Formats: sequence, C-alpha cells, structure tokens
Amino acid sequence: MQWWLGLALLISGYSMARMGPAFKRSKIGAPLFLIGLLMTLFPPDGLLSAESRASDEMLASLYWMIPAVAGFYLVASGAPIYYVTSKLRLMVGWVLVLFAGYLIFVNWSPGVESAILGIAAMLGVIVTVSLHLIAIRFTESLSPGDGITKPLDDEEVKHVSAILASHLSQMEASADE
Amino acid sequence: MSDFLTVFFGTIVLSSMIIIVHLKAAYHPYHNPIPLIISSLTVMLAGIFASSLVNTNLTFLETMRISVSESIISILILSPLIYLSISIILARVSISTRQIDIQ
Repeated sequence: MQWWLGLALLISGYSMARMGPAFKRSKIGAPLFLIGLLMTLFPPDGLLSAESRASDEMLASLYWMIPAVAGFYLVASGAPIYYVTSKLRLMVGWVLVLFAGYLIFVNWSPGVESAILGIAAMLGVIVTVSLHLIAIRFTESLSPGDGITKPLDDEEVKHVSAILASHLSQMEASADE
Repeated sequence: MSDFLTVFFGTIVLSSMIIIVHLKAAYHPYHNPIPLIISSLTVMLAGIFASSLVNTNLTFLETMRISVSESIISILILSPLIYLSISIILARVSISTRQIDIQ
C-alpha cells in the first residue's frame, strides 16, 4: 500500500508543482514529490515480485536521472526564452545533461525482449493519450462557448498600452545594464 | 505475447491513473474535470479487465498490481529515449538567436 501511495504522491506533487505561483498548493508540490519518491524507492516488505523489480529499476535509474533533470532545468532556465539568456546556467546545464548522456551510453543495453516490451508500453501510452484527447474534444464540444469577444474600448486600450509600455521600458533598461 | 499484452494494458491502466491523479491534484475552479475523470476511469477499468483476460489465474487486484509494475519497468527501459527527445528540444532552444544577454 505504501508503494502505491508513494506513486500517487509522486504524481500529485509533480502536478501541483506545475500549477505555478498563482496557486498556493504549488509550494507543497516539490516536497510532496520527494516524499512520494522516497516512499516508492524504499518500500516495506510484502510487495509482489513485479512491484519490487519496478522499485529497484526506479532506484537504478536515478544515477542518470538526477543529473539529467538538474541539467534540463538549468538549460531551460538559461536558454534564450523570452529574449533573455544566462550563459552560465546554459553551460552548467549542458555539462550535466551530457554527463547524464554519458552515463546512459555506458550502462544502457536493452535486450530484444525488453525493447519489445518497451514498444508495448509506448503503444499503451499512445492509445491512452488518444482516448483522452477524444474525451477532451467531446467535452469541449458540449460547452456552449462565449461567442465573439467585443473589441477593447478606449479606456481598456489605454490601460493595455500603459502596461506594454512599462514592460518594454523595463526590458530595455535591463538590456542596457 | 502474454507479456506484451500485460505491459500494453498495464500502461493503459497506469496512464489513466496518472491522468486521474493529475486532474484531482491540479484541480482549479475554472475547469470541470468530472467528464475527463469518468472517461479515464472507464479506460482504466477496461484496461484492468482486458489484462485480467490475459492473466486468468490472477485476481483483478493482482492483475492491476503486476501489469502496472511491469509497465513502469518497460517505461523506465525506454526512458533514455525520452532523455534524448528532451535534449534535442533543448538544443534547438539553446541555439535560438533571439536573445538579450544578461551576463
């Protein structure tokens, strides 16, 4: 039971962390994820053989996943998204990503049987995502919609222009520094 | 073939579980998750049922536990390919020329 609870917490933590600062619960996302991970990696006795193997496999994958995830985060935050770059983050991030790649290259050697089961897993994900997208499309088709949005009035145009001008001047100031 | 189908249906069950937990954890008042939870629950139960047809000697609960665990192992085997995909996307983003250097 602890192992399954750990899995649920792991997924919940990731989902909450992704919600962003507008939602207070995003703050507990990362701790929840870590608790879930620990519960999954170090389960009590009494698991089925397949569950134990899954837990061991997760533990064995961490040696390259930790540098990979840290590297991805640094590269994503340092890359020129929104016209701003941090070369230091980019460089450290890529060192970590390449290090993870090296670890994978040295240790990863899936057999034919594992590869076939991997294909089965991929097909399972594709089928589920397709069904989920069909369900989303169907649900949205039931919604009446909001109709055509009216254009902005003069006051709203002034307000939006002021916000844009403020942001652009801040961007120019940070570029000058 | 039995292992292939066990992993295939196990991944369907696992993916549906992830969707359900995500919809619940990331709930906000501007979204009605109930239709999607119902559809994912239906897909999950269908996956457990199909998996139990492959593993007739096991109970529904054992079928679910084993098939989902096997699917986690298979996804972890594929995870280096996920690493490769993300790396390619980030490499493209990293060499984008639209930038203002803050260093």
